[in-house]
Amino acid sequence: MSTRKMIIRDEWERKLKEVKIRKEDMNRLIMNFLVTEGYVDAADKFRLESGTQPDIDLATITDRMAVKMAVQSGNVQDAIEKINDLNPEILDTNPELYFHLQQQKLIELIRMGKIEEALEFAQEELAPRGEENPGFLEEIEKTVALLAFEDVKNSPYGELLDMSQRVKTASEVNAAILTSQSHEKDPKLPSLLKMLIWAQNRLDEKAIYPRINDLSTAKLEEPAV
Amino acid sequence: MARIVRSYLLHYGYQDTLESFENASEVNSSSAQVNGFGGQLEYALNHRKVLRQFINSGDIDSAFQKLREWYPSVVQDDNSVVCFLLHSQRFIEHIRRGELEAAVIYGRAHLAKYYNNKAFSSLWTDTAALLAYGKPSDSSVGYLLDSRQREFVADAINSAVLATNPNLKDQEGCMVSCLEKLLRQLTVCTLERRSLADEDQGEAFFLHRDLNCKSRLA
Repeated sequence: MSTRKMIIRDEWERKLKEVKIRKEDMNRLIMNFLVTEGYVDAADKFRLESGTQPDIDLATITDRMAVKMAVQSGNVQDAIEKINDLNPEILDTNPELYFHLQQQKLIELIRMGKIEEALEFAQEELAPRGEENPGFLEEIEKTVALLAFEDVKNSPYGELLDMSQRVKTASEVNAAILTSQSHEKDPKLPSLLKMLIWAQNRLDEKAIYPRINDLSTAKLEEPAV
Repeated sequence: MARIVRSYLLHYGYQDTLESFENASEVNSSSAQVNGFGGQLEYALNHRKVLRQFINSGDIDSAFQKLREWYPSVVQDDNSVVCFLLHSQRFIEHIRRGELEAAVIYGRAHLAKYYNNKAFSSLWTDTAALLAYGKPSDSSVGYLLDSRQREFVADAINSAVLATNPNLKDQEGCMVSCLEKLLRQLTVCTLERRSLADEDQGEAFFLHRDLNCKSRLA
């Protein structure tokens, strides 16, 4: 095994100091995060406090957040109407998203104990989706199976009733709206952090140097000799 | 993730944004105190926010006044970087408003003395050069009239105020934000890896290029 290059702290810190990071670029990263994650008010305040322009019209964030909230509160029909108000093409071009929204609607009907309505809905709305796309069949079967149990929460697929399922659907909706607005759906900041972890792992192969192991403090750890 | 955003906002004193962010997210302000930096960065938050507001709006006189009132040690030594930056910015604001006579008077009274200081020389020369142009914003030193210069001064004052914290544990830690440290580390790691590699390891990371290369990040 080839020996790794040893870089002592002083030398590493010297290299760190030589890097030029522009404040405005960091501001953009923060603004991008606030905007993508839907913190409208914070984005607006940040615009005022830092002079950074949001990379998306803040008004569209409010609309997007309203849709997300609707899904998270279980008001799926309301969410669907809002999405169509925003951009009717979103659901047209996203069959998987539309299916997941329909599935969520069924879950909500079951949650509310509206069994007859649920059955009708499953047959009229969900079954055709399964016919169009056999990939959805498994999900349909799992969801419909909930109807067979009195204690739905503790049934084999009871986790579909969890908040996490709503959150999952809501995230999917959020991403689809962002994409339709030609905005990248993921904020840039988390991927940069992942890149740092990856870059350090790669450098570990060739060198011993002060690492940052705790991202939230960015503290440099002394290289282990 | 949220902690890094929170730490950034705290570090630079973006108080209003921070409050809004904390209200909207699940980030609990007390949980961040667990790691030592949280407490340090909260020092003088409101004052730093106010000072930044003054500087961002070009009201350097108020910034000076408040600094004398709140953190006299920061502006005590007229030969300090902080004083030089504030004076040069005041001069720039005169130029921006077309107040050439006032600029000259101010420059003679407050800026001339920094001429000999090598550390300030390039900024000094550029600032003085503003007088040479009928339309300074179109000149090579026009960048000084940009809001980014105000931000640069605001950041410097911000760091200086953070440094007055009597409970300061980590001098270095307060001067550079957490996010900046992470980005620097990322850049150096990719550069270093590149220089150590036998074969081409691909591009090194440069934030500015990365942000401007993507067709539609911001």
